[in-house]
Amino acid sequence: MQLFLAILGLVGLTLIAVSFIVRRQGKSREWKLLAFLAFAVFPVLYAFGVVNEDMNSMKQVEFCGSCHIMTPYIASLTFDDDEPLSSVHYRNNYIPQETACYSCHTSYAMFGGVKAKVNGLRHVWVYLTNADKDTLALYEPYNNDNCLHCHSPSERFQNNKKHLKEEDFLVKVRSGEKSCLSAGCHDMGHYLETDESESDEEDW
Amino acid sequence: MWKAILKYKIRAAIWLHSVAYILFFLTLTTNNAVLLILLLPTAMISLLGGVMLWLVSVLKEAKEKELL
Repeated sequence: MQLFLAILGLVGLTLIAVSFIVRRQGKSREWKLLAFLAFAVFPVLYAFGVVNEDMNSMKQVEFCGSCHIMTPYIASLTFDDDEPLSSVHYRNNYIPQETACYSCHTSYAMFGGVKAKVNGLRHVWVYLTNADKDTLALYEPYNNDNCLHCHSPSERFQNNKKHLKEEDFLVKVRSGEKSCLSAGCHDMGHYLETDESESDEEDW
Repeated sequence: MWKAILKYKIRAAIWLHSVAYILFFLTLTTNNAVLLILLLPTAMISLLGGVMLWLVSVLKEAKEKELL
């Protein structure tokens, strides 16, 4: 797809050059048609293709990991333990591995993707202005809907003994009254190696 | 500067479109999140600027020929 878009870009640039030459030669009719294609139709189609490709690349784990602050979170995906939610989902391929961050941290609601992009702009602003660069926190408590989107229809989830302990447990979870990440439930989202390295430093 | 841009609308549109094509191409090749997020809106603005200038030149020509 990238190669196709690169070729399309070259064709677009050539079209602009040709239309300019035609204009200089004074061929009014040909110029109008070429200009319409070169200045309006082709660039818009090209932009649409590129933006679509970019939006897909923004979902990739590599994209999230391109900011240094995310390194421990990306590393936590392959941590060999089933307790942290990130590693159990990633290693067992419960979520698409290429788009792991996006799958769990973007709301499945209608404008979830848009909200993620707006937050991305905020991240860039923080990165460029250096404000709170080393502080990383969720904007709001983790939304249960992101978990329930996949788990809710599953029998294993519905019949889990711990989930059936309280009578209205699942109702509370679905309404968001009780978080999936509550203490004693699934309280470890990511295993961060920085915690361990800090404790190691203290040992020295 | 704006007067010069409006005077040479087509030339300015060509430059803006060329810049937009190059920036769009760069967004395809970069893996850096910050660079991508900065390049993409810049490319979009360049593209829209180019289209608008072309449209202004078309409308001006139509007005001169009393088509509008």
